[in-house]
Amino acid sequence: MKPDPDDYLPLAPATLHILLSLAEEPMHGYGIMQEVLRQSGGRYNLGPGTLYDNLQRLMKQRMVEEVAGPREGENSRRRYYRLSPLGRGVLSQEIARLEGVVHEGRVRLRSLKPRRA
Amino acid sequence: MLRWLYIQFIWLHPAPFRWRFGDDMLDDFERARLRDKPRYFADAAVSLARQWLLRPEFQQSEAAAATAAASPQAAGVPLFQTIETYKPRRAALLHGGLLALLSMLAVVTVIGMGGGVARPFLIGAHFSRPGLLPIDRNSVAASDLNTTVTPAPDPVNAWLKLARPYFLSMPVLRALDTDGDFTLSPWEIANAPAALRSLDSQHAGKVTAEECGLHIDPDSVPPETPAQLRRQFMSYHPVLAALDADHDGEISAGEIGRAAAALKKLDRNQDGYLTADELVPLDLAVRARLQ
Repeated sequence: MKPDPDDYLPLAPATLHILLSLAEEPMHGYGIMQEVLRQSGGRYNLGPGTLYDNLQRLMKQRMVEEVAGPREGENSRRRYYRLSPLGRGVLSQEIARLEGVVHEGRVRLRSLKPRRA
Repeated sequence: MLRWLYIQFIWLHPAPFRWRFGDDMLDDFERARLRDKPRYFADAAVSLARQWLLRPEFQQSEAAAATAAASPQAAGVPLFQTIETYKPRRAALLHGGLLALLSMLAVVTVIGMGGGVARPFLIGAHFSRPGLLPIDRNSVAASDLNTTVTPAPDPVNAWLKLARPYFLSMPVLRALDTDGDFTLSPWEIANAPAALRSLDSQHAGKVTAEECGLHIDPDSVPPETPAQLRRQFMSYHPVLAALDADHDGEISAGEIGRAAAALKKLDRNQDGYLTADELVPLDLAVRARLQ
């Protein structure tokens, strides 16, 4: 039975950032941490323990897959990860959910603005 | 030092997590700036608690982790080491046991046969067997063990046993051996002329063969024979042969006077005494197996 992406929502912030980092191309762990740091504007500094704990769980849930890295170069020994179709679907659903949250938030916040006389 | 400490933190994680992500965690730690490293330690401590307390589903057996470690991907990783779990194949164990059993059986069989080429193994055998001694059996008679061994008689007693009847049958020796010990001492030798004169029963100044112990039956021998018998008699007995220097069958007055010197010629070992082995005729000694 094919899993439903909605079953995994809502995503934790760390999970969301990790999936978002892998949305464009496969990355290794250190690259994911750097990308999360960049996405959050330096506010969310993911540690290795937290990162690999999430990757472990995401791979078990088949949202992330391990792929072969480049054969040569300084990162040849590192493991690379990419989004699986399920992971991409979950991320899409989460983004859509967040868009709804943002829209609702903007509406609510707009209604609270004081009107000019 | 910090790197070693961080390795210990990684080592404390559950094996499956450690094998899968430990290498990358250490690589991330080495890439981090020095001011960020304390945060890495805190993160590792939290991760440690989380793995052991909140992720039991990921804790696989150590055996599975060891299997993962044997994969080519883990080769060359300096962080994690395993204790060697090599065990011989069952076929190798079976062959080794079979070979040991056959070797033991061969040794026991050779020892049990007790002989042939296995003589070196027979040291310490409990029971005597012909094969125990590496000798040529053809050179030893089968009746060796039944042979009665008689010690050789004491030569002194044997000579005395032979000398006693001989001295008693010889008037000359009885006269010379004044103390009756069947040995002529230097004093008795020196006194020989007087002892010989005591035998001159006819007072002819000489000692005849008959006076020395010869018995001739005139009826049974021809008239020309007695002289020859006397010479043979005198030459047969060593002591008479020594005294009858001219071999005429009698001890003349002159020969009686030189008796001591003549007797001394019989002293082969030059000890001054004339013992039985120097006085008894050779054929008697040979017959008594003393010569």
